Amino acid sequence: MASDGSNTSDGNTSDGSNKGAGMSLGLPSHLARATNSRGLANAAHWAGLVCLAATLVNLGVLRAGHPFGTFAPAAIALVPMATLLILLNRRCTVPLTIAYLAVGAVCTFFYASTVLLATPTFINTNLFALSLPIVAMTMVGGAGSAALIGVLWATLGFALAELVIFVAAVVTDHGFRMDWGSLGAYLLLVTVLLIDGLTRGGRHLPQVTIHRAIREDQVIHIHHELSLESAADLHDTALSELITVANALPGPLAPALRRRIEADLHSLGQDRLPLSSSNPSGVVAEEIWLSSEMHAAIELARDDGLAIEVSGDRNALGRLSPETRRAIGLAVRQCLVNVLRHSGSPAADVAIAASESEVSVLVADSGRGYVQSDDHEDRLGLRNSVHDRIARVGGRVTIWSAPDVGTSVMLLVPTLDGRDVEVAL
Amino acid sequence: MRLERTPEQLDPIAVFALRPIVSLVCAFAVCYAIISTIAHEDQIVNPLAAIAAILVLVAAAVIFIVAAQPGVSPMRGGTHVLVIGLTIVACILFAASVWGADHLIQDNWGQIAIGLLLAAMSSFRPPGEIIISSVISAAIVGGIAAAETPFLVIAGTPVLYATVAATPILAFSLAATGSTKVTTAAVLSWRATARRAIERLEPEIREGAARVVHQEQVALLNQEAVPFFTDLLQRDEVTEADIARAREIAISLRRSAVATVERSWLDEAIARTIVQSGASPQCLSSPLRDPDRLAEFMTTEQRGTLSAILLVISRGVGFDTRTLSVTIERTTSRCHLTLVAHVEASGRAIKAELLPYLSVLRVVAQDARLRVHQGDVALQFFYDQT
Repeated sequence: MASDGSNTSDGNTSDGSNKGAGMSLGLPSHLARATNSRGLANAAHWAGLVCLAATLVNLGVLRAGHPFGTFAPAAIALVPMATLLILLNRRCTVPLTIAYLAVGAVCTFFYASTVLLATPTFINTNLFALSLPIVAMTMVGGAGSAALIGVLWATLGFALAELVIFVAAVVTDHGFRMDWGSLGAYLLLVTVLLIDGLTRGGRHLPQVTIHRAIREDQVIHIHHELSLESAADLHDTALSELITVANALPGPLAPALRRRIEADLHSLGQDRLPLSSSNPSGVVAEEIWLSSEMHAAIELARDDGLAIEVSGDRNALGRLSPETRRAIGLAVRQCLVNVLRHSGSPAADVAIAASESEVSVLVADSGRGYVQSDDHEDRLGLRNSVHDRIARVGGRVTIWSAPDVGTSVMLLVPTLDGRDVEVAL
Repeated sequence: MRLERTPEQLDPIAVFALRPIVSLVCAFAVCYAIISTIAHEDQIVNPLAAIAAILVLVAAAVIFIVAAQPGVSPMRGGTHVLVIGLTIVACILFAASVWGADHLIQDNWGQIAIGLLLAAMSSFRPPGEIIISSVISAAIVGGIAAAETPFLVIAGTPVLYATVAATPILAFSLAATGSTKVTTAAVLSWRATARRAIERLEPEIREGAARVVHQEQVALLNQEAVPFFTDLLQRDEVTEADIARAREIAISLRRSAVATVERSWLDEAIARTIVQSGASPQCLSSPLRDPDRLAEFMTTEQRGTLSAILLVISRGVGFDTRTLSVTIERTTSRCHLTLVAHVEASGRAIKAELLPYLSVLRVVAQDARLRVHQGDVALQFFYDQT
């Protein structure tokens, strides 16, 4: 009966586990911030490119309507601007952003001057033809993940473009009038950037709850799978022997049955994993790991959507004093918080190793990294919070980091034995 | 249900957070249309057409806002065609209202309204669909602008005016699809990373679970079977009493094994919910009614989302575990899950907390519905039995 049920359920379970294959829903918040910024920058660049393409079409139309006007310099002026915008779309860096704004300002001036000089019927600068490069300059979508930085770049682009249009109007003796289209585009972009800045982080709790639920369900699923195996084992061993006894006749215990019962009892003591009665140290070490601050820190970061691989000897934490274990756990937590906040990396590794006198924990990511001389507030936080905490328990911290390579933090703390050696020396 | 590569279906919680922006964009488009229409007062030759244009745009905006609600999501292609189609009709009606008297193309609201709605639509529909829609819209609006050339105050060619009308539509839609392409690529890349991480985590989980299961088995056998066998081996003899005792223990062990086999992941998830709410699971009969063991057919996403909803309910102030009931029944071709619970909190607060999860459930399951009335929560959804 148990066996039948087990088979049916096994079939169902394997079907269920294959569907979806451990997928997670949506971007975790720490990746969403950078992705949204990249997305908005990409959007701005595409809008800018459409405007420049429309400018070229306009020039073609104007040339056909004004055979004596010469629009070639205007068309040529747009080429470097469009080229830089394409480059900026590929790689959004501060130098390229500045170069686009500088070259764009010069190009817009040449374009506007040429168009105004060639078409005397245009009495002022409130023209669709002139609003297009202004919008393209506004859509600079500059480097930087903060919404305010995006607003500053857009404002700089818009102001520069309006300034050069004003200069072109003065030089060509035309009236200056701001057009509502480009102002509307600027205000719209700023609104979008500010809304993006204000709504970031609004989905944190549901995302974390679903990530946690998916992981806990994985634990439940595996536990259930193993329980079914265990039930099948029970059916084949102890239950089978009990049924044999129940069906036996009174009298001496049959040698074959005796051997089977002895084998069952033996396997109960030694099967698969150490039991509390046979190897208490293994279970205690496992319990120390599961109740440690380091395990809690790793689970918290996993809830936030960071994929963490733990390798090495987790049981080594059992060789640390409770005070040291807490210190290294909290330091690892700070390191993982830093990965979440600054690295832009979806994953991190935690490697634990131990010698007689020391336990080392390496927290590594392959994210953005940073220049170690950078005294940014968060870097100081990493140095002070992690370094001081570890130093207080007699350990030391080494940090390796480089831009676009990633960051590795090595924490070394003395074991209880190591402390004894130190005291003896 | 076939999933599409739209931001809404790949990252429903993120798009749920953007929902107010859809309302904002629609409101802006309607306000801009009204202001622009008033500004065109001296150019309007057919006031009825101008009013009809605004009304049709309002209808498009209302349909869009309703379709973006988590209770009716995800948005389908038909809604996209209806919303943008109505906006194009509104644009044509406005052009008719100023036909022959329009001064400028660039101050007409049609192209801006279409561009804004297409940009907002890009969170709900695939980029390819948005681009096709924008090209068709640009061609129609550009064609109308070209036809207006003879009446406009600035002398220009039809191509020039077609460009003026088409540029905002193309700029908005290409910008929006440029943004969604980046975010969808990031989500797909993250999913691959998350999948690998979960796979790599499995040995660690399996090791811990194996230890727990083995300890559970030892504890079970230590209660009766191990002392019985030990005594039997010492005596080396089977008595009538041993035969009767062996039968009793076998029945007890068999019952326990059957209970293990019949217990599903959902039983465990519900037990966890009850524990988290502070009650003891042993004090209650299982709230799960799943006679055909249909819970096993749920996908990882469906399981994760349902578990998350159970967690949210268990965290609710005044959640009474005795009111929790989960029923799964087989319909003709699908499984139908119904969850009922009572939480002592305002319906508005409970709904606000559960709506993000409903938006996920609407994507990963079928026909998910949530009803909250005076603390009574009723959730239901369907899923395939394959």
